[in-house]
Amino acid sequence: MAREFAADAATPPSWLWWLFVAALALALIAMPKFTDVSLQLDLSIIFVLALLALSMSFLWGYVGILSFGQTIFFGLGGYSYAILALNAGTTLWPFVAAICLPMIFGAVLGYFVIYGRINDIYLSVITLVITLIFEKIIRSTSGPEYVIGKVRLNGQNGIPGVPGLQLPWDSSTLSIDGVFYLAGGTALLVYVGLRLLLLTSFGRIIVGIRENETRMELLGYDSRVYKLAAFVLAAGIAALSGALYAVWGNFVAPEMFNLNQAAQVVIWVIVGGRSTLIGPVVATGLVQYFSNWLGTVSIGQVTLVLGLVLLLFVLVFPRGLLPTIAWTFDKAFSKIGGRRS
Amino acid sequence: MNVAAPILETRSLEKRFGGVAAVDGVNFALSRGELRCLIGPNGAGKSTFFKMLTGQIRPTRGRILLEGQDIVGVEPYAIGRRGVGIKNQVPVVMNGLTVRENLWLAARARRTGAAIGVAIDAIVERLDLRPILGRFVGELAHGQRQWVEIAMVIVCEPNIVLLDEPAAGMSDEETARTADLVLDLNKSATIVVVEHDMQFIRQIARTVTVFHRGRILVEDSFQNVVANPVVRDVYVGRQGVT
Repeated sequence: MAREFAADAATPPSWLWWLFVAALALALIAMPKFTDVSLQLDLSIIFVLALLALSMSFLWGYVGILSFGQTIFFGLGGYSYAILALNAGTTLWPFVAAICLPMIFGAVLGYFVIYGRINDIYLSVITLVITLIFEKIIRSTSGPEYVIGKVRLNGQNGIPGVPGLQLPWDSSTLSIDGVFYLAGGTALLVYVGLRLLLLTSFGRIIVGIRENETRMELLGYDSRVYKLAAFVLAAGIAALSGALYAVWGNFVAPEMFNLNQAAQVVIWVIVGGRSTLIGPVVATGLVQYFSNWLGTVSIGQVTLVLGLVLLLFVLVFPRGLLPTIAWTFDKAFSKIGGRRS
Repeated sequence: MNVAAPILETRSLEKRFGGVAAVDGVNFALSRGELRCLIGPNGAGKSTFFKMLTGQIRPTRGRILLEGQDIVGVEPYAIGRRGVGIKNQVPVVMNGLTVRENLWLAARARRTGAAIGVAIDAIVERLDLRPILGRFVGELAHGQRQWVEIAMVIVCEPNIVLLDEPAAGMSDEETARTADLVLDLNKSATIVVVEHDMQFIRQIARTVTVFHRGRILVEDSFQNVVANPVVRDVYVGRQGVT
């Protein structure tokens, strides 16, 4: 099990993994028939945020870049969609543009930090500072003079009334079911896509760079090209998450860029385990539900409790939840004479 | 190209760390097809010298000419692509990946498609790596990790191979095999070996360059070097080698 879900497994996934993916797909298709609207809405936002977690676990787990700034692209994706869709009166191309524009920004930012050979810790700090700058800038746009086209940015109040996605073959915007399928389907596709990316030369090379960048350079690989490509891809996934967030909530706000959000992404990946892709997705759901539950029991200090959970995980399960479970299973099986698959 | 011209040459090469000159004005020339040994006490500047030749450290001053072209400031990947391969003193390998994956990454650096598998099979047979092919490199003994790194260098088919202490931590049998491998490799590549093991050097050496305090002290045949009283004083004599 551990190898099957590990982020550095260059071996093709076995039938077991495909079965797992098929079961997820079936569960996704069937779920709206058996669940109420509120659960669908809850799960939809988890799928949307799971994409953000995937972008982070890909970048940190595969490439070894700890960027605190995935929320830059998440926020830019959301704001781009909101501004373009409200201005254009249509939604499909704004949705595509909301993924592409943050990727372009990611390419420029990535070029400076990666080609400038900024070392890991400074890269984390720089990306964190940039997302906070975006938050600050957006918060300071309350006045009526801050208008893009016909859309007011509204500062810290955010932009309400963002239109839902309208598909070419349907005259109405996506229903709650539709958003559920879109978010769930996209999250599943991105997960499968990233897992299969590991089998390609590109995937294997970026894992090699994570393992030992010096050796890869000595072998003749220009690690910067691969790291930049991975950075831009992760930016695209985070932007997709941001655009879907806007579609889901019909609303964008500067909180998308803030420290709380940036830290949460890191927490999902640490709790889930960065050596897997599915781990952070599961952790997103768990943390999200846990936060909601903390809110309902009126504990007050949700952030404080989340911080304690993070500390607990770092100290007790440094590998993260899923790798620890998988490792425990492996140990148990090897003890009873079973062979590791 | 002029066959007599050095394939690799350094002119007044210098590297300072703060006030300390790790390499201090080294003029070094390597002929095509040569097998050269570098010896010298710890801290003599040999590893720093190697790292400058591969672009891992930028010199403070001086020039490095690879086939006549200055490569100071050139990125390590570009020097690697020009055919310079290095095995570092401390193995620089992908510890979290299997031996097979390490070899794949090395083979992929120079080829695509089916040729990758062919190259891996060839090096696995040549260095007898099949028993450890599926193991994670981080789990291997030091000597085995060195073999993996040497395999990764060879599979890139370099013109120049820099080997920093290839026999360190190896058994007598492994050392003898390494010496055979170096001699075999020398049929297709120019080689520089940094080593402390005099028995190993005796087996492979033609010309020996002695480093001391960042400078070249002596450059001569192995017999003359070990007989040189100055060399014995600074290095060889302390090792008790005759």
